[in-house]
Amino acid sequence: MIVNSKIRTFPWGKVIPFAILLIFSIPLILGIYWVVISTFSVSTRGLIPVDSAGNPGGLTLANWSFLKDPEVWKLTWNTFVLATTLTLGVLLVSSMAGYALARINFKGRKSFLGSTMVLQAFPATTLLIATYFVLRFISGVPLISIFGYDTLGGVILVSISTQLPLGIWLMKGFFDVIPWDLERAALIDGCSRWRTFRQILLPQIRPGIAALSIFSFITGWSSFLIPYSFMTNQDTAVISTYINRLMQETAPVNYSLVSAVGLFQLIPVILFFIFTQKYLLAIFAGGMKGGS
Amino acid sequence: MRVNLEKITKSFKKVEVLQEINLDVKDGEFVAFLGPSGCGKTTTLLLVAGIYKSTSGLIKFDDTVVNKLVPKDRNIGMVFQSYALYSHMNVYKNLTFALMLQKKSKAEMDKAAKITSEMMGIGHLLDRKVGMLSGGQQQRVALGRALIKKPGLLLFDEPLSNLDARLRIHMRSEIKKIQHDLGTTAIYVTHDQIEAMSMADRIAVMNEGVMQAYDTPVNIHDKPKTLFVATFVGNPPMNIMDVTLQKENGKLYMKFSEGLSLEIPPSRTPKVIPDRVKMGIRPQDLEIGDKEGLPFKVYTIEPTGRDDVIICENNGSMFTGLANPGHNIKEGENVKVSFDMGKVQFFDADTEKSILWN
Repeated sequence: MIVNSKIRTFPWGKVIPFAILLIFSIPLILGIYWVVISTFSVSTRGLIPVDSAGNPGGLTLANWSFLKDPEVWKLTWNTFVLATTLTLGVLLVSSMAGYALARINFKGRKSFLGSTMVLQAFPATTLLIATYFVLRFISGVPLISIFGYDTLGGVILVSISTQLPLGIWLMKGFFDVIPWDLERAALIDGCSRWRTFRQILLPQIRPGIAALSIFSFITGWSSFLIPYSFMTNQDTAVISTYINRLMQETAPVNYSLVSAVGLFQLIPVILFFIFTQKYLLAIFAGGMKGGS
Repeated sequence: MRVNLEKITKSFKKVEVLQEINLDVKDGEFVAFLGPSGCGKTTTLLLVAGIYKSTSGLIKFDDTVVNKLVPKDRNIGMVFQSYALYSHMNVYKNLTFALMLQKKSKAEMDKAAKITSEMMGIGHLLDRKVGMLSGGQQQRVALGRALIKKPGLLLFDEPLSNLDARLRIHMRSEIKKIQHDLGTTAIYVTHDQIEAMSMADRIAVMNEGVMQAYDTPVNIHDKPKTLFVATFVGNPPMNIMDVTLQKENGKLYMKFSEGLSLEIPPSRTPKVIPDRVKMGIRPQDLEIGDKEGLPFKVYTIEPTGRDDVIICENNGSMFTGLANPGHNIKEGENVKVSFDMGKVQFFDADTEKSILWN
């Protein structure tokens, strides 16, 4: 009887959290639903696809015809270049800076850590004008002018620097928990410090590297403000600025087209997330596993 | 390989953690650094390893000064408390990592891995990731990794602390046997006196950055040079009491505040008698009875199986003795404690140094 009553008890403990999550998710789910529907229809009324006369129906692939436009693929390539070089740059600098901050005692270490924290608190918008002048200056310097104003290089440079505080802190946190003995063992085995860093320590923080790559790639792929502010040249534009251009056309904005391009932009992010989510979860579980 | 430390000091910022450490280790000798945590024993080990740089003093291997050599050029192998295995590699790669860095051929690495892993009893585990091994197996991999390079000096940093008690006793004899068979000089850091006593040829007892004594286990136990050594080594710890030493009719007597006076045999007569003296006696060197001796009241009795530990009290001072399990001592009882006067220790109460053995 006791067993029976246990089975019959309604599982409130499971239902209530899901119900709460569902309530907060509804606006998002409806929004995504609308975006998907509208990309395949002439127009929409509420959540229902309609044709030009306003009757339900009117499904079409016309909104996706932008895929035939070679310009879109060029923009996609630019976006890809921006996201990957941003990721590589952030990984390279943050892992080395994080190691130095976690392991080496140098003058100004504490103030550096503090200032990166403070700098991160500044919204990028407040720095736009100052950054503009810096990029204009770089444009005038030979050799490094590829990182100047109105170049993809310049946008990458600025994007990396805005992403670095997060990356450095994250990497430092991961290096902090690696036992000193591991490094000592490698030094005694015959490694140089640099080799210890590459061959022994970096593999230990793989979950951190994975997480930072994901954050950086998604940030780069969907960034708008920096590319919009520092690249006026349409040849080097990215998808987000392209969407913005579609919305600013003088003719009535074709929101179905905007949705389609937006969805197109989302695809890599979703794929990337699906394949890497186990690393993200490893971070939230706080898990450094293994015999170290 | 011989190891010499000459007037080694080490400070971190302004904190002096080692004060003039002098130490010589003979070729093939097994030396233990024994002391409570924070006494500087691991710091000393890391100085020998070349991980830390000494603030002053010389470190010599076979008469060559190695102060400036980096760890990899010192021909050492080290085993850590946390094992510090490379968790992303398998056992084979862990073992042969050092050989790979020396650019040894695959055949040489295979051969060395085979010999070492079989010696350590982990030959069947070479393909496993180290995270999948038990604590004892990881310990063996760590030991194998230190041995495979055939180092001139083996360093151990509390290598058995993370193992359970049974395995610890087993690994203790195993490490000692391997070290003895290979004839490699070894320095072993531990806070466990039984480990130090049972494994080492000589023990360096350290406290607060000062080397208290450096001698064979028997001498450390029987002839403690300082009060710290006397109370730190030995279990249960040595009993310490304030006494006065007085000469009467050419004989030396030890007097307690209770009025009891005991004659000191010539073998335990100090050369110089300071004003304030502390007497020390090990629990096994006294007898608890009811006939004669110092009066005490039994506080608690702790059976350990082999002996019962009798803790007595007198005016707030505690005294520990041992009795065979067949005794008829009861808690709360008044007893008399008598001493084996041939085993007593005397210390200068001010300098805390032994007045018998310095």
